[in-house]
Amino acid sequence: MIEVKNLTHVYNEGLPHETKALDDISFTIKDGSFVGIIGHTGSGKSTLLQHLNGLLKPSSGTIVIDGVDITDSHTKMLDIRRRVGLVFQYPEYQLFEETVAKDVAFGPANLGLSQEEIDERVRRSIELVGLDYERVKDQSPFELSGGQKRRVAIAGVLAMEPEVLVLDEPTAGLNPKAHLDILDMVEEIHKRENNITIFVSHNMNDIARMSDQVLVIHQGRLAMDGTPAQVFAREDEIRSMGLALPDATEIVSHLRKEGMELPADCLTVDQAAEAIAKALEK
Amino acid sequence: MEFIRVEDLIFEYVKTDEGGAPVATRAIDGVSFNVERGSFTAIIGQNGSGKSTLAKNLNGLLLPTEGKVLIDGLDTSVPENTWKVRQKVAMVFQNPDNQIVSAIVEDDVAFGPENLGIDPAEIRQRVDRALEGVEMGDYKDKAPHLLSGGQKQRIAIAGAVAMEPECIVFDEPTAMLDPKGRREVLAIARDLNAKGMTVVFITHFMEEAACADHVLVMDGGQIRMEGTPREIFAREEELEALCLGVPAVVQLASKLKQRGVDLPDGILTDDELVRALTEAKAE
Amino acid sequence: MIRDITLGQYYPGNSVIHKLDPRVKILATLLYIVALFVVNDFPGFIVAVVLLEAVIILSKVPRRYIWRGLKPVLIIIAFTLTVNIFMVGGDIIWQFGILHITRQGLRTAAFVGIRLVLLIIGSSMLTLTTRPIGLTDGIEALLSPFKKVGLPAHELAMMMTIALRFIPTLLEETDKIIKAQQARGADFESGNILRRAKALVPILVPLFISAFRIAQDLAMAMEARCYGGVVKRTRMNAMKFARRDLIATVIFCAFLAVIVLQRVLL
Repeated sequence: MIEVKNLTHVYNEGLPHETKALDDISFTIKDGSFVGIIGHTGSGKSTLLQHLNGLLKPSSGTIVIDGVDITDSHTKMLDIRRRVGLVFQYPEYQLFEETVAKDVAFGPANLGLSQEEIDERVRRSIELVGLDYERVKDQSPFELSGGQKRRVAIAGVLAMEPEVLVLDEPTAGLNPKAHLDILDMVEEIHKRENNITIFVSHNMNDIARMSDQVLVIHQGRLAMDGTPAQVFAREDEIRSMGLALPDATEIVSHLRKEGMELPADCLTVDQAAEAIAKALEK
Repeated sequence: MEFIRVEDLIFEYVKTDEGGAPVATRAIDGVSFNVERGSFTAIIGQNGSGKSTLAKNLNGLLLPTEGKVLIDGLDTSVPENTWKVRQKVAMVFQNPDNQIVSAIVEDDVAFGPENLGIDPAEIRQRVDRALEGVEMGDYKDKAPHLLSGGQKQRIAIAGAVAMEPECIVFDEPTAMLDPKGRREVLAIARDLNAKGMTVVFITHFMEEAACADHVLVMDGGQIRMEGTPREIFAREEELEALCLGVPAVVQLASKLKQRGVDLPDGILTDDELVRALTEAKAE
Repeated sequence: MIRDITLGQYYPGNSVIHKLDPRVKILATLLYIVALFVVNDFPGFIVAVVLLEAVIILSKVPRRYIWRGLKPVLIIIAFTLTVNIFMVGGDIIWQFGILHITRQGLRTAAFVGIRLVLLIIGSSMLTLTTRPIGLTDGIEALLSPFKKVGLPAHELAMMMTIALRFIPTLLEETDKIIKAQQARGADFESGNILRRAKALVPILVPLFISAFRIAQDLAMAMEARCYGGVVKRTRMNAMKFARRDLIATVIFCAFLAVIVLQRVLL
């Protein structure tokens, strides 16, 4: 379980250009949940993610993961990193080793594990991201395709066996097929590992389809916290924050304005089709 | 009137293998099409489908291995035509950061016209006009690294416009942007097109392709489908086979038809669907 | 944060100083620096301060910007002052153990301090009032006589332009890479020198790859914008030697002459 309480982060504290990047954010995430975070560029999403694994220290507030306060200065950094794996945007730009296996081993090696344990984890995580271990292990990561590179980079974080996996826009810049493949992979990993998965995305269709819980960040504050249906039903607020609705929800909202009686919580094309067909039968 | 004419284009990247022998990979495999003057053509396809290579063949950054590319009648493979072709066909690239040359916005916009040897007073006017056109006039003295991705991409477009080309090729200009940046860039491309600019817009967002007059679908270095967005998106199954999918509204319309709702063919926008459904309900 | 570092900071403006021909400004700065090293009495420094003050007032650059440029080098100035105060021999005016202060030491320290401050403010006035392009154009023009002996003046200037543009981008990139590797448990802060040097590999390799990717993309983009074409390049802000440039040149030459004459005659 993750409990974030009154998290505040101020950049350049005490200087004339100080800015509150995060302002009194509190939320709870239950074990095994899949959480989507939305908010437009500069809303404070990235700052929030970097707090979750101790890359940034809050100005005030606490983050407790499974009873351990990771904002406590006595908590060891490596212990935090082991608990929370953070996959940055365009993670393939951090690959640096000669072979895929060596690159994936970087994280576990930093944890000071035995060679045997490291090898075992490398194999497991490469397979977890859907790559053929025997085929890719000795390949240079730089010779792989864009989507495969990203998988290797994600494997590098999974190899630390985190209890919480955080992904910042895991599909940024990918074309439709690679986009779907990566999301399927993330879902598959979530099912198998049953960990907490948190992902940031600008794609509301993905957020609506995949998350159990959605956090909306706006101007450094937590503007909404609920299920996708609850969040996207507040369409006027979502729009006023410069965010979009899922495509299906948007169309249904149009139809509702034209006087059709439809539920406000259609999130996918299938749900919308069913609701519209039903409304027309009446 | 056609502005771009591509005839049986084949393009191969040549690398040398470990033994030093040349190895050719065919990125474009026999492609022919025309782009009409003043049109908005979208090219869609997966990574590796050859669409970016095709874009770079349209202004002589890459030259055909076989076949021909004619820009306003000028053959790109004739060396004397190179600079004329690049002036006629400007380009905007995917990565907003890596195409801005200068540390001050307006100096960057001036870069192209300066290379063309335009008179300084004229450059000044073109730069001001181009920046106003993308609504970045207030940022002319700013440093590009302080701008958002969408703003940087607008600067890159202004840099292209200032060369006064007849056509702009956009090579996945929205792939690295957030939704707001994407909307801005698409709106500018459409606006330029409305003012007479020929636009070739490469993208993997289907909603963006839906705005075009003409769509080319590429796969494996070949053009697999060609037509208006309505024609293309009506062939949902073929698109899905190419892992491309269709805009959500098209999907919804076809699912409704499957459920027996009577809808006209070729619905492409939310408004069209809403109108058709309210009519269906009234009946 | 690493990305707060600014390089070649330019303060946009429209003052007489901003409008001066970059070539004149670069030469004037050089003359001024030479003069600073010729001066060795207080009247000379007063002339130098008055001249610089006049430039600052005319440029309308807020003083806090100028102050900001000075801040990072304050430590160096303080260090130099201390060394000079205690190390120079002569008439002792204060002594404590092996430490002693001499009249000559105080004098030298004061001169060195003033010289350094004027030097830094003087040269930052050049960068604050000249846009990066102007600076590189000016350097290119001043170096162009050496083209005959094979100096690639234009290429050097272009390199400077691109460096000024991409240093902030690369700093930001470095910041991101460091954080990403830290998230994988990398430790850059502990261990001996060898371990720390090894710890840099996961940062440097991705950074080099980024730099090459930028170079490749940028070369393509520049070519698409007709760079390297057959026609002769023009410039939007072509450098023109106007009357104000002549006046500025005369003032700075006169300044150097006064300083040199004073040194020779007195």
